[in-house]
Amino acid sequence: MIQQHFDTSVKKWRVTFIGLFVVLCLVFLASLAIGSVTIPLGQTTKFLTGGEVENAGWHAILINFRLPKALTAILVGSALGISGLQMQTLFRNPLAGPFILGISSGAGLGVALVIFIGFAIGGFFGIPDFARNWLMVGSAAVGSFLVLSVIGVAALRVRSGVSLLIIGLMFGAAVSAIVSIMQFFSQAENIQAYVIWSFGSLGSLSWNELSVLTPIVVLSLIYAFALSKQLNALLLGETYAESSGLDLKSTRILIILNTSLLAGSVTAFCGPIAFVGLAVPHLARMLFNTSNHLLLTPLIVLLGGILMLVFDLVAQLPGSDATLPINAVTSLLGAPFVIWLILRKNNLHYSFDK
Amino acid sequence: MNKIQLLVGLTILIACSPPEKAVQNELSLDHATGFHFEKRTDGRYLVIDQPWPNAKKTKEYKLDKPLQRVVCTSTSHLPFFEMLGSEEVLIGFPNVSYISSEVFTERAEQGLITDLGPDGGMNIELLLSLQPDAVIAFDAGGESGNLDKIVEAGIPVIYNSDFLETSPLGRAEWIKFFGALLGEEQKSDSVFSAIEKEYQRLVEVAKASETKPTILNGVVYGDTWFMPGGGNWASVFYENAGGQYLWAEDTTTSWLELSFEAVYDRGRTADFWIGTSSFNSKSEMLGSEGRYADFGPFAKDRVYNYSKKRSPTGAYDFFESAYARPDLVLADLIKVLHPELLPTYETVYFEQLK
Repeated sequence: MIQQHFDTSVKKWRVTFIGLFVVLCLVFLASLAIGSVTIPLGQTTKFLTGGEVENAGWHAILINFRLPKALTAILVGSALGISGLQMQTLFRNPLAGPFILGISSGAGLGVALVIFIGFAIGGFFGIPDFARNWLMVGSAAVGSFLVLSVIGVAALRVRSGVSLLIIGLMFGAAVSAIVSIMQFFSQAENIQAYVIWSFGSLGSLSWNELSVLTPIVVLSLIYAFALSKQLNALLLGETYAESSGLDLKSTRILIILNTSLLAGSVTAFCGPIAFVGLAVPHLARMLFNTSNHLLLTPLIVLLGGILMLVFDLVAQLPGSDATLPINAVTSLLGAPFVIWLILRKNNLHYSFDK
Repeated sequence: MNKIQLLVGLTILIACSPPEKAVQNELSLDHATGFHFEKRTDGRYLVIDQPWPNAKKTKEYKLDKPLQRVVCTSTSHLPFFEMLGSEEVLIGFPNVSYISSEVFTERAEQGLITDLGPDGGMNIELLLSLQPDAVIAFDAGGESGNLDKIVEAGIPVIYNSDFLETSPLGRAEWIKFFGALLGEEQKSDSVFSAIEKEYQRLVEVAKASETKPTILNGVVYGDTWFMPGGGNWASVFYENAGGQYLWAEDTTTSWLELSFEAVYDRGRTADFWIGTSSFNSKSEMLGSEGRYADFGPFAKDRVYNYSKKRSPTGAYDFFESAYARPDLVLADLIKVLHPELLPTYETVYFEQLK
């Protein structure tokens, strides 16, 4: 009887994962095929299968623009989604997310420091690409790690989840204020480099930058999967987690490290991307009715990737030369979806609400 | 008795006639479409047809005595004061560090021009203490809250909407707006005629060009490339300089927001790239976005920016003085596109990026 139940459940999840993977592939293909410049679908598939594309311009657009952007979208969606999941579980709070807890602001402060100091010392853009990329990621990750650590320390003292969120919000506000003061004292062109970054962008990553972002995100995602059991234990309460032999302190630090690498590296390269980190974990829990991190982690990786690709497709406004800012699209399309889900389910389904 | 009655009647009639009714239009303007003068029974009026974008109503100012103490809010208005020899009329400016002009920078250092807002805003209390005759302001987005406050305090605000003009000469003709307000009408007329004549001479010179090189403009911000529309000031310049703007068929007078791949598709084949925002060298451009290297002008070393004349603080003088001197801009562009037509000319604003 138990064996039978287990079998159907395994079968169900297998179908779900294969289904999501197929959807991801389809959306990926669509995001390669659709854009301001019309490229026939046949040519896109030819490009993907390694064939010769008729028009050299199309080839250049596919290889230089659409492919890196689609890959970036998948990485961003997955990384922010997982980072949101870890924060929500760690702080046992459904409102936690990279944006709300000030992690994005922390990363922003790191990037701003690098840009402004880089320009002050002389020639930020003069630093070799590779070194500059690592510098940006490093400083963003350090920035988000510091913010998260402070909140983590506060979490030890403050039990109430709401107080913790307020501390996060205050921290985010203070960090943003520091950045605006730095902007006030710096030259127009330094500000421009920072402002461009702060718009949020999926399409500005070169292959060079992707070669830095991809390994960081992929390794962190694998590590996040490895942390699933500890996260599951945390979900059942800290006393339970401790009694089951979990070293709470080191687990906390590991999760914070993992999540700040994910959110920090993505924010460093793509700027602050709103909504995804907060909402994707909720969507995954509600759509698939599970709070098991062993399942949620791969689900969110797939779902985050799919959603980000769809958001980017919408931002392209297919058929026109114009584009929308990606941040506007993520929030505009995402928010009603989450509201609809909550209304349909009539509550947020969390085991840590109990 | 009858005569007196008639006289009284007439006076009442005149007094009751609506002041809006124009008696006659005088001093016709040849290029500017945003303002005109009207002679009425009670004096001469300066009428701003569209004080801000999409304004429903006009603004009118009675021209009685010339303004003696003026505060203005845009650096692009400063050259007009200089050209009319009315430098001493300017007594205040928000953020004098933005000013490139040597004359006004010096006057600010001597304390003859009060800095009304080092933070870029306008310090209303300081403004009131200056007691200027008027503030010459611009309103690009219908956000006139601050300006309304100045009016409430009893200081007239005169709206200047030269930025809505779509032709280079039209924008420069706003010198007559300043001429009328500062009591230097004849001078403004003669200065403008000279500029107009020189501009038209240069247009004829450019007509001798055998080729019409294609021109690309702007840089990408995040995922969006801000490109002047085909009806924009810039597009008219390129046409007059014997070039062909790649987006010339477009009719937008403001800016287009294009996706990078749309610009990439069309812009790679351009002959010239003119206007690269705050990038003053090719290596800086490549540092921020490697895909710029694929553009034709980049490989052929035909990238130009308006960076030749800069203030000590790094501000581009182009944005301050170029609107008033379309003849210089046109000569510069001809020199860039067809150097053989102006062999001895040295550019004022544009320089080739290395």
